[in-house]
Amino acid sequence: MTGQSETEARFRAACKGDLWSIRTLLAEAEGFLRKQGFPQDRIDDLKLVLAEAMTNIARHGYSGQTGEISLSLHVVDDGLLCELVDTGIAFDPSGLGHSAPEPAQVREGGYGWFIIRTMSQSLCYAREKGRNKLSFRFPRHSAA
Amino acid sequence: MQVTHGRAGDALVISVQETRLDAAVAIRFKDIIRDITATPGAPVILDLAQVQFLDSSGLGAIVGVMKQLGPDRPLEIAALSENVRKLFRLTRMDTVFRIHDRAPETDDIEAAE
Repeated sequence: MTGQSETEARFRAACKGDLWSIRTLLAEAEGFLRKQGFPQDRIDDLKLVLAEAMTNIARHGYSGQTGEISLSLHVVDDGLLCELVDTGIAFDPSGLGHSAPEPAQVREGGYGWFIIRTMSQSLCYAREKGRNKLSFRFPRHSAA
Repeated sequence: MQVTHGRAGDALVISVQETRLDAAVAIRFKDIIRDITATPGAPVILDLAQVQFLDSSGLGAIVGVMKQLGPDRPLEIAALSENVRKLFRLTRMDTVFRIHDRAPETDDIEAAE
């Protein structure tokens, strides 16, 4: 081993809190993860989790107001530590997404937090100094 | 947001010509499909062969389209990429929609956006 520098890598970027800017940020994150050698199916899964979380920020946290979403990805041995920060309305998702909406109800929404919670690990929300901080672990390989 | 549509037998086949069906285009998608299916009639097959990324907003829009069409006009889904199929499985929407491996051949193709 030649030390941590070769295995440690970080991605940090920010975008405006609107749905089109989110697409651009996701594309940048994808480029980073490809360079880091993440398998494409895991990149796709992470993009979905991040898209759901950032869409919530744009829709509910900023709700038409302007604001910024910051994303950081930190590569660790077995995957990623991910963090999203925004300055929108405080929003604690602790109670959300613990079970999937019942298919028979054919709901048009309510899947977002279920997806985030199912595909991530150690999901954690904090409100600090006017900022929402959502962090989670994302394993390099799927458990399934 | 672009789609094309054509006939396959008595079915109306609508093909999404976008690689992403996500929150940014979900409402537009629903509006376009509403316009295309304004006249009551044939069952609808939604061809997602071009779609590589679907999020819960896109999925919700597809569910919304199904509700718009009503119980007498079934909405079926075709040509899911592995990534898109995964979201249908995770949300168990694969138990709600009939899913075809590929979309049928169509004639009289028209574009809408």
